[in-house]
Parts: sequence; C-alpha cells; structure tokens
Amino acid sequence: MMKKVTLIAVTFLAIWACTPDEPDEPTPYAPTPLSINIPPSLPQAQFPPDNPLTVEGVALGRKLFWDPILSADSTQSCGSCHAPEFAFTDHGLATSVGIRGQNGTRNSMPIMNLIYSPSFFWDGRAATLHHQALMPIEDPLEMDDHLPNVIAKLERSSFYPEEFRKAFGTEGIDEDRIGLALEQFMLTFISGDSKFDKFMLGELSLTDAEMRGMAIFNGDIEANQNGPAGDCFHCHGQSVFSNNQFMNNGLDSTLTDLGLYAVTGQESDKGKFKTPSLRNIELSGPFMHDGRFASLFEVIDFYNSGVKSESPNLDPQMHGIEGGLNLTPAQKSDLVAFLRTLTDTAFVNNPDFASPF
Amino acid sequence: MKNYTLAFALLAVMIGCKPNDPSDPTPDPLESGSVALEFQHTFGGNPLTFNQWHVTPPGDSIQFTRLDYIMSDVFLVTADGDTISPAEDYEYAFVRGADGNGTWNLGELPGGEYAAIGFTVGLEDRVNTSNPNLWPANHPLNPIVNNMHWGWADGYVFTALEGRYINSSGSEELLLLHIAFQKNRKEILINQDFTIDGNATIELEYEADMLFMDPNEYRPDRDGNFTHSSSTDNGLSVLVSANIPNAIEYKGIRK
Repeated sequence: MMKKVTLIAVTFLAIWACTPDEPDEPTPYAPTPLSINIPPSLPQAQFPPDNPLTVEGVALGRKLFWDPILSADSTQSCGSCHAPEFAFTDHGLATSVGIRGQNGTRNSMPIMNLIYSPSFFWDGRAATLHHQALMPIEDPLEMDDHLPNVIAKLERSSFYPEEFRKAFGTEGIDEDRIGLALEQFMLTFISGDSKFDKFMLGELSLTDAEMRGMAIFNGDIEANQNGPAGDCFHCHGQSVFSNNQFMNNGLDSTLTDLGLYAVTGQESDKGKFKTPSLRNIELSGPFMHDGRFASLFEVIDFYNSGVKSESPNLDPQMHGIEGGLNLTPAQKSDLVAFLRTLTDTAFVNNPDFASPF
Repeated sequence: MKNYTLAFALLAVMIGCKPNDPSDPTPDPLESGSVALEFQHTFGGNPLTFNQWHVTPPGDSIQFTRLDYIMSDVFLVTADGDTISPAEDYEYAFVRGADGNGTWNLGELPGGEYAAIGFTVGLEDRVNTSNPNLWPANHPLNPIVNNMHWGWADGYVFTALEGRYINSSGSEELLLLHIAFQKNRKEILINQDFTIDGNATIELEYEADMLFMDPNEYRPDRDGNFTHSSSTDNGLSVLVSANIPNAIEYKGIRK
C-alpha cells in the first residue's frame, strides 16, 4: 500500500516539475517602503497604518506640496505659505493672503512633528492629516480651487499620472490619493535635532543664560513662589513642546474668534485653540492663532502681565499665571535665550523638504 | 487503509456516544479568559459629566474639565491566597475620564474563585523617572498617549483633576490638582469575592465625589484650589490623594 502511494506522489511531482512555465504574469507594482527614524529626543510614534510611507508616495507628496497647480490660478502652492526657513510658516506674516489677495483669519501653522498631532488646524477641524491637506486647496481665502478641477489638471500633466501610479501601484488620480501623498510628505517633517536636543543627549552645553531660561521655562509657579517661574512646561512640556490640547490661554476678555467651538458647537470650547509646539519658535513668528504678537518678547509680556482672567473658558492650567509671572527684563531675555535653543537648523535646511522644481 | 479508517470512525462514534457518568463528582473546571477592569466614573451616584456643575459632599459647586489618571502594578488574589499578575503587556493603564468608562485590559487570566483586586494609582519611582521617549507608540506611558508627563526630571502626574468651583463670594475660580510624586502614589486593595469563568469585565466604580470627602473633607476655598504636588502646597496634594483609595469600589462582574 505504502509503495503505491509513494509511486503516485513521485509521478505527480515529475509531471509537475516537467510542466512548461506559464508565461510570466505582470508583477504588480509595489512602492518602496520608507522608514522614518524618530530621534531619541522624541517619543515613539506610530505612522498611519492606512497610509504607509513609501519612497514614491513621499516623492509625489513633495511635488504636490510645492506645485502651484493645486491653486485655482496656479500661483500658490502649499509651500507658498509654509516656507522651510520660517519653520514652514508664512514668511513672518500674521495671517496669510490668498491667491487673489484675500486676507486670511489665522496665522499659518508650522509643519513639523505632525505624527504626534491628533487633529489639525488651530481649531482642530481636520481629524487626519490627509483631510487637512485638502482643505486649503478649496478654501476660498487660500488656494480657492475645486478638487475635481485640480484632479483634471493633474491628469493633463505630463508626469503626474505616472507619479501617482508609482506611488499607489495602480493608475488613477483622486482626492484621496492627493491627500494621502501630501500626508506622507508632511509626516517626514521630523524636528528633533536642536541645540536643546543635543544638550539633552549630553553632546553640548547650554550657556548660562540658556540654562537660566530653561529653569524659568520649567519653573513651577507653585514651587517657585519666590523665584522666577514661567510655568511654560505645563502646556508646552514634553519633548514635543506641546500638549496638543485645545485651550483658552486668556488672550481676550471678549471672544471674537471662537476657535474649537466652531467645530464642536460646545459652549465650553469657545475661545479654545490648539497649543502650538515651541520647537523652532524663533523662526515661526508672529505668534498666537491670529499672529497678534510680533516677537517672543511680546508673547512673554502677555504671559507676564496680560492674561485676561475673565476670559470665558480660561483653562485651569492658567491658574497662577493669570495673576502675572513677574519676570524681570533680564529673566525674559533668559527665557528667550532658552527658546532659541529649540531651533533646529538641520530641519529647516533639510534638502529633502525643499521644492523639487 | 479502509480498515484503519473504519476503525477510527467507530472509535470516534463510541467516544461521542458515551453517556456522562452521573456519579462523577468533578465539576467542570472554570475557564480562563480575557479579563478587563472597567472604571465607571460617577458623581453622587450618577454618571460623571464634564463641563457641568456638581455639588461636592461638603457643599461646594464644582465643574470637572479633566479627570485623568495613570495606574500600575495590578494583581488579583485567588481564594487560596495566591497572587496572579497579568503579563507585562498589561502592566500599566491610562484613563481619560472625559472619554467615558476607562478600560484596563489584563489579558488572559486563569479561571477560578478570587478574593481581591489590587493596583496602584501612580508609578513606582524607577518607572516614573525613566525616559518617557522609550515607551512604544500606543503604550499607556507614552507621553503622547497620556499627556501626563511633566518634562525631563519630574515624571508623570498620577492624577490630573481640573475644573472650576464657586468660591465663598459666589465667583467662579479655577481648580487644578496635579497629584504626583511618590508621596501620592496610592496602592489600592479591593477585597471582594468574584469568579472568573471565561472572558470577564470587572466593573469598578470611581466615585469622583468621594475625592472631596473620604476620609478627608476637601474644600477648595479653605484648603486651596491649586497644587502641582510641590512641598509648598500646604499639604493639599496629600490631603486629596488620601481620598483616592476610597473613591474606587467594586461594582460587579459581567461576561
């Protein structure tokens, strides 16, 4: 019995082995996976499983980011209002100007370390980065185009159809793919190589002024009742220098821009805006959601004596600060000196982020 | 070959048809299962609502905007007195009160009769002061996940209670209690008989009103409305953290 089974098996194998090869099926195209190294100074992060980074996807996103074809009159790209040398903000402008000179209402946000952000824009109206990426394209105050028109323009391009095929493995351009490619590119903007980071890794020292400024930054207003304390770290703490929360820091007694409320409709969200990261803060002014403060000194002056304690929904974290920090001019200078250690020149000068055109 | 197959089939039928022995006294063993602790936040017996006014047991009007906490070192005590700890992957938990009920998955645990549940609100010093950037992306101690880490030297806030209250003059005041440091690490032991027989969710009630009452009466106007748990807070963090163990009670178990 066993011999018969063996004979059948051997015969089958011989026939199978001698069968001529089928003509090769075309191998499905697979983009090249791209791994992003998170610096030791930053928390571990998980990149979106529904949009794995690839070399081709990031390359496409980079072209889209810098191509004015995404705007109605092909004059503005994403990069027009997010310049690397300004930590991907808008050239020192308080609010950005659209393609026809329309005045925006919010300060252009820096683009970096977005992998840590649970939502996007000052008011959090985009839950994912790939949705965020599409919104300025159709915003009448910004690029003022329509996605079907943008898709038609990209389809007529001499190179985008092939770039999309390379990035996603199959033919086709749609708004999802535009958003996903832009998301991939922006997720590569990791900033964690500042002077401060090198100091934390023991690679260099900070100056006396920077050290004093760091002590003020981390100074607890409760524990340092008789010493300088900025209590900055409560909202701008951790190594991303933001708690990624929406808070009212007491800018106004009467609210004009309602911030998060416009998204949630909840009374308790009136006046709340996203806490921005302080990384590269030296480059990303002017400051606050409406760009009202031109310099870091103006920002510190606000926290030092200008917080409106009567502002609706003032965040409890502002407790103690709303009464004033009482920092001296020298202490303010020290604090600014520390904030400047957060500038990551390798990040803003990274050639991989620059325009490919 | 046919003979073998037939014999096997007959054996299977015989086994399958064997009647249960009614004299067998051995009960079915209790099954192991996936076990979780569920923290249900209440105030005065009702679900805790955020950004709405409540009255504390001592009589203060209070509004919560945040009640978050970090836990560690969970274990179950069997009826025989043995201690069972979950696998390393389930060692820590973070709960954000505003998200509703908090769940601490404990993984697969053996079925059986149990007599107690223990865990700690807070972290031992070695963990508390370790590098937060080394925790995996979705780990409860990753600072992006919990937003409770305090910077580079001071470790984590163990419990963050934030909101507002009405002071004695009738004005709204901010309330911020950041309970931290080893002096405020609270080991909790809930003595309660329960049975695990397959998958189970152990329901624990977090009575937020008890944070103001048991055993220490806490009145923000009198005791302070702000602490970062420093040595200069006049003992406020210690006063409030002492109330945490009595705020968490066994409620039930469900399949």
